[in-house]
Amino acid sequence: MAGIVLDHISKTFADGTVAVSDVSLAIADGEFFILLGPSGCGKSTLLNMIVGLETVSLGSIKVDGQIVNNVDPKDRNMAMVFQSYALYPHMNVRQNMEFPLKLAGMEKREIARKVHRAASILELEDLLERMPRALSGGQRQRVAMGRAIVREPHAFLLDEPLSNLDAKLRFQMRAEMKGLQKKLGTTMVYVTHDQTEAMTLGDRLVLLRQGKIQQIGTPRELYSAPRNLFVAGFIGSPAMNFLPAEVKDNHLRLPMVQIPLEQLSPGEIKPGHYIAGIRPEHMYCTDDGQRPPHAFQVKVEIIEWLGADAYVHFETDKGDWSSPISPFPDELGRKMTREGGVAMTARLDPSRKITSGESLTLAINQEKIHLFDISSGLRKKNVIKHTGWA
Amino acid sequence: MSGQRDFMQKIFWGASTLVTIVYAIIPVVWIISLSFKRNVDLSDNRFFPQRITLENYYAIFQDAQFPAALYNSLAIGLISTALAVILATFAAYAIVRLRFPGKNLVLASSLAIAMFPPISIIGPLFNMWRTIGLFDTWAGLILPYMTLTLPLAIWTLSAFFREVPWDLEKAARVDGATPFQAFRLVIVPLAAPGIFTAAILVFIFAWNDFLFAISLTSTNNARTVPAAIAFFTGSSRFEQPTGSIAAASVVVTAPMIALVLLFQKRIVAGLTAGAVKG
Ligand SMILES: Nc1ncnc2c1ncn2[C@@H]1O[C@H](COP(=O)(O)OP(=O)(O)OP(=O)(O)O)[C@@H](O)[C@H]1O
Ligand SMILES: [Mg+2]
Repeated sequence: MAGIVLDHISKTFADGTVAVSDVSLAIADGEFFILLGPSGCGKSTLLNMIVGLETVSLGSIKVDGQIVNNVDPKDRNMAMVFQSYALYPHMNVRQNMEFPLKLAGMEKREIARKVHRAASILELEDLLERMPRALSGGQRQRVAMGRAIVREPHAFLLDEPLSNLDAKLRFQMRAEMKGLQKKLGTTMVYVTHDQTEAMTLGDRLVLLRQGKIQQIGTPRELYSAPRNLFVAGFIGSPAMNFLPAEVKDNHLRLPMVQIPLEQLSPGEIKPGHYIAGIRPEHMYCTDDGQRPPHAFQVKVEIIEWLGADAYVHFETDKGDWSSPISPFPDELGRKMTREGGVAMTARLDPSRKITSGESLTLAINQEKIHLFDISSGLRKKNVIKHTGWA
Repeated sequence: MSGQRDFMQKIFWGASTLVTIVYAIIPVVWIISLSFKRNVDLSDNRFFPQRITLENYYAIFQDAQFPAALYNSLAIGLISTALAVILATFAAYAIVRLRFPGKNLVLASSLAIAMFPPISIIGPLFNMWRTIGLFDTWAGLILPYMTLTLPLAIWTLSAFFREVPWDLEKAARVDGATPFQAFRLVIVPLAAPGIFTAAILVFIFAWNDFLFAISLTSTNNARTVPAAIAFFTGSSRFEQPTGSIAAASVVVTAPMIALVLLFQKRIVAGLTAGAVKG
C-alpha cells in the first residue's frame, strides 16, 4: 500500500499531442481516488504513466516518497484492470490469476493458497477451470479483478473497468468494487468518464479537461462548490442550467426574474455581467396559493417522467436587457434561441401531474444560485451562500 | 418454391465441389496407381494396376541415393523452417509493435526479395558458393531457402500479430513480466496459428524446391529428393524409371499431406476469442 504523488506531470506524445499538462496531485494511502473527465482528456494516459506503461515527459511520480519515473512497470508492484479486461485467452481462469505470482517466482503452495483466497473473495471458485471465452462479461470483469488482487499490490489502477457491462450489472459491480476496496484497504486509482460512477465510488476525485486539472476534491465539494463552468456543467445529472445574468441596482437580473441581492449573499458583488448556474434540482414548483415573491411562469415543452423524478424542459423569456455572452459558447451545452431565450431543465416533484404545454409557476432555491465570471469561467466564491463547503 | 431453389443451389455447389476435387485428385491417384504397377504393366493404358506390387518401393530404398536424399530433404527443410520462422517472428513483432525509423523500408524491401525470380540469382549463387565452399552443402541450400521464404513468413506473421490485442502485452508487463517474457508467454502463444501457417509454407517451399537443389548440389551430401528423382535410372538402358519416380513422389508427398492434416487443427482461428470483450 502506498501514497502516490504526481508532481507537475506532463505528457507529450511523439506526434506532438499534449495529452496531459502540468498535473499535480497527491493520492493518500488507502484512498479510493477517481480520475474523471470526458473522452480524450488524458485519463488513460495519466494512469499509464502511473503504472509505467507510458514514459513521463515532464515532472515526477513518487510512490511512497520514491521517484519511480524510470522504474520498469514490472517492478512497480501495481495491479491494473483494463477496460478490455485483457484476460490471457490461452489460459484458464486459474492460470490467469496465477500468472503474476508465477512471474514473481512464488512457491507453488503459496500460489495455490493466494489464488484460492482471491477466488473466494470474488466468488470465482466454480469458474477456475473455465477459459475466458466461456465467461460472461461480469465474470470476466471479476477475473480481471482477481488477477489484480492476488498480488497484494501497492495500488490498484483501473481503467473504466465497468464500462463494458450493462446498467444493472454495472450498478451491482460498483457496490462490490467499493466494498472490496474498503475490505482490502489498498489505494485505488479509478478512471471513468461517468460522473455518477465517480460521485458514488470516490473518496476524492479529480476532474480533467484536455489534460488539465479542473478541480480536485470530494464529490460533495465538486457538486456544491464547482470551481468553474466546466466542473459545474460536468458534475450533476441532469446538467446545471446556465443563464445570462446581470448585477445592477442591487438586483441579480436573470432572463425570467429579478432577485434582490441581499437575498443571495452578504458578500460584495460587483455590478456587471455574469453567467448564472442553477441546478435542475434547485427549482421547485409552487402552487398558486403560496406564490413566493420571485416566482416566474414557464410553459412546459417536454416532460420526462422517470418515476422518482420528473424532468421538465422549458424555455425562458428573453429578459428586457441584453448580455454580452449571447449566444452562449457551445461548450456550456445550453442553447440560446435567436430571441435570447435559454433552454432549461427543472427536476420537479413527480407526484404533481404535469402535462406538456401546461403553464407552471416555478421558483428558484435562491441560495443555490452560482455566479460565474464571463471571461474566466471561474465561480465567484464569496458570492453565494452555500451550505456544506467542506 | 424456395425449397426448390435450395435444392438447385445444393446441386450446384455439390457439383462444383465434386468437379474441383476430381480435377485436383486425378493426377495424385494416377501417380499412386503408377507406383504400385509392375514395370511391365506401366504402359498398359489402364488407370488402375492389374496387380499391386511394392517392387518400385523396394527399388528406391535399395538404391543408396534415395534414402540419403530423403534425409537431406528432411534436415534441410526443418532447419530452414526453424530459422526462417524464428527470424520472421522477431521481425514481424518489431514491425507491428515498435516504432523505428525505416520500418516501412524494411517491409517494402522484404517484399522486393520475394519478387525476385529465383532463376536470376542461380548463376551468381553457383559461382559464389563454389568460391566460398558452400556448394553441395546443407548450408548452401538452407541459406537461399530461408532468405527467400522470410518475406512470406514476415507478412503472414505480422498479419497475426496485428490481431493480438496490445492490452494483453501491457497487462503482462504490469503483472511483472519482462518485455521478452511478455512476448514469449503471451504474444507467441496467441500468434501460434500464424507461426504454424508460416512454418508450413516455408517447409513446403524447401521440400518441393527443385531449382536450387539441382543447381547447388552435386552429390548425396546435400542433394534433396526432388533433385535426386531426376537422377533415377531404370534397371536397364531400355527401361524408363517411371515406376521408381512415381514411388518416390508418393513417398515425398505423403509427409506433406500428413503435416498439413496434423496442423490443420492448430491453424484454427478463434484462439483469441474471449481475450477482450467482443
Ligand atoms: N500513442 C498516442 N499517440 C498520440 N496521441 C495519443 C496517443 N495515445 C493517446 N493520444 C491522445 O492523447 C489524448 C488523451 O488520450 P487518453 O487515451 O488518455 O484519453 P482518455 O481520457 O483515456 O479518453 P477515453 O475516455 O476515450 O478513454 C487524446 O487526445 C488521444 O488522442
Ligand atoms: Mg481511456
